Amino acid sequence: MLSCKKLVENASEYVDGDLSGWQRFNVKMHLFMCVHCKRYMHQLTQTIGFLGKLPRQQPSEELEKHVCDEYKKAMQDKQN
Amino acid sequence: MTATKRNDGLPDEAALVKGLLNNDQLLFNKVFKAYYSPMYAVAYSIVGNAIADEVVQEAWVSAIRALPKFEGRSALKSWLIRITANEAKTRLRKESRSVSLDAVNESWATDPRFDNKGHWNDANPEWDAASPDDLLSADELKDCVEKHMEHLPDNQKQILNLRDVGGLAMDEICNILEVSSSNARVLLHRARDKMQQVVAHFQRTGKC
Repeated sequence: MLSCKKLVENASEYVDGDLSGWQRFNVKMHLFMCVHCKRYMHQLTQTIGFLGKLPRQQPSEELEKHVCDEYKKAMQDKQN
Repeated sequence: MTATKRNDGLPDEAALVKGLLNNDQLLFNKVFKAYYSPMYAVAYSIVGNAIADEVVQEAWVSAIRALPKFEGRSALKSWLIRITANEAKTRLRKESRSVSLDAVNESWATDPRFDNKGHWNDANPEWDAASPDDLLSADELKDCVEKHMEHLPDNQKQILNLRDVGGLAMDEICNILEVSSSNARVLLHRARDKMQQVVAHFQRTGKC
């Protein structure tokens, strides 16, 4: 049977849906019986969700102005 | 290209490109803001945070110049990300620095969480937080996770940033970082597993 350690090592593949049908079945069986791994899997999913919600990097005003000016200039050059 | 519902508040691809070619400055500003975060994530993952913004700026200058030749074979966002990755790699070569991507040398063999039969040594207690949003409500946890992400090995940090923070697709990431999909998956999982342990420790002790 799949050990807890093996399950943890491949947990992302389960979460991301990258396991074959048989492997997936094995993981599901294990999770059904093992409360520790079930908890780990849930926490891993929560962690991934959390990472996706971390505040996004915002551009500085200086960079925004520079790039938008660059666009404006390119468009003017095109028209001339 | 198939039409998919956008979640970035921008018009559909065709209108987007047409607008940008027709001097729609308001739209340009929106595109710049909407795609800054993934472009920054790509630049950051290749050159680090000190010059990531410079790379994003250079990428935009190249993209603006190349825009009339954009053929729409990929989504504008993917095109911008490719340009950013190329700019970042050029910059890296100029500075003759390199970031190792191939080393998957850490071993799971001695993971103290498990005994020699592969069973858990100690049960991982349940978390109080019920959802990612609950986790987000603790500013200290955010800071803690960000701090630990900084300390991940470069290759794990790159992939975690691009995939889970930046939301890029796995095949896009493999192309950008020129890494095999199996290697990328291993690195991604190592990084996620470490972050799970960081959150677990915080939940258990209230400390980073």
